[in-house]
Amino acid sequence: MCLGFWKDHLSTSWEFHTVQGHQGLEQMAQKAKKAGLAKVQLDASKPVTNRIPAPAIGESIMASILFETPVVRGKGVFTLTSADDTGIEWKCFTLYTVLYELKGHEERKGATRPRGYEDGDRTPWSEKRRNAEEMQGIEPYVMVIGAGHAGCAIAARLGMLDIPTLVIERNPRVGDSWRKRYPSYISLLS
Amino acid sequence: MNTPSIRSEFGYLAFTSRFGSLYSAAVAYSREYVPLASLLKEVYQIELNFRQVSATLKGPGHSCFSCNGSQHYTFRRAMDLPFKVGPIVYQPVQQAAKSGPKPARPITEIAQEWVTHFNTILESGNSKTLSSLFQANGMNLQSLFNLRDLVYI
Repeated sequence: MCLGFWKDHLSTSWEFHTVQGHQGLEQMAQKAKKAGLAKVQLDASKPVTNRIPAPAIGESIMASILFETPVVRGKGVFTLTSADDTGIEWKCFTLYTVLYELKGHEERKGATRPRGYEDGDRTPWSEKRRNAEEMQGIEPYVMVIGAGHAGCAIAARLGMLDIPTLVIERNPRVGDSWRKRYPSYISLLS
Repeated sequence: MNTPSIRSEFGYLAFTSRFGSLYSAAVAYSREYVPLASLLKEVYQIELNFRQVSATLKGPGHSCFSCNGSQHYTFRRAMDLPFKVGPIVYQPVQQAAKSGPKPARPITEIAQEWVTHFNTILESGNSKTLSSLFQANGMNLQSLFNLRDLVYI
């Protein structure tokens, strides 16, 4: 009987899956093959650790992985537990894989982060800002309802992905839904 | 009193940092229709009855974020207590560690070997053999260990 788990979030299909056992793993392997999952490698930025995650588990080895499909880059983590009494053979108890980014739509960060200006572009920042606010010539792909914490956060992330996004808020200012929540609440949003 | 659905009521745990990861786990698991209440009971020895809790924990310091104290009550203080508080039973799992074998080889080597085999099976397309890389020893729900390991990286 095979009791290992594989949980996948969006890296092998556009769904969430958790499978266990021969049949489930076989189906997941077929999905992975169809998705072109390959180039699995240990994530060098994270150490391989040896620990006891729960008393009933005993010793285990945990490691992080990176992988790719033709469409996505993903990352994951797996836990190995001993398969015999010698500590030589170790098998997977849990494997978690998750979509990290879509190829061609990587988040703009680090060196690719927007600088706020382009070389040779003499348009004043205030004008660019006004155009952005009025969405001049821009057709939004996504509309975010509510400019609270979550709305602002998702809009910022979408902005970093260069996805035109319109945020709508019933209150006059961004963050008002929290600012007006309690009399004693102090908001750091301007 | 009926125990409310863990799926509908579990969101209030999000207000406690201690159980923030459990909340995420709850969302993930509820989507997959695993009965979380029994999971919590089995793994963490936590029994929750939210309606009874809100009736019990009235008083200063327990007002709820959402309704400002009129209907619900935060569980932070109750959850942090390692003993019974009213209807909440929170007991850390008291269990001796399983005496399993320690790795006989460098753990990085073992992990790398597993990744290599995983790659080989994926490339070969022989999906029937994938389960040979996974644990076959019988483990019950009790050993589902930290839920965050299944949810987070």
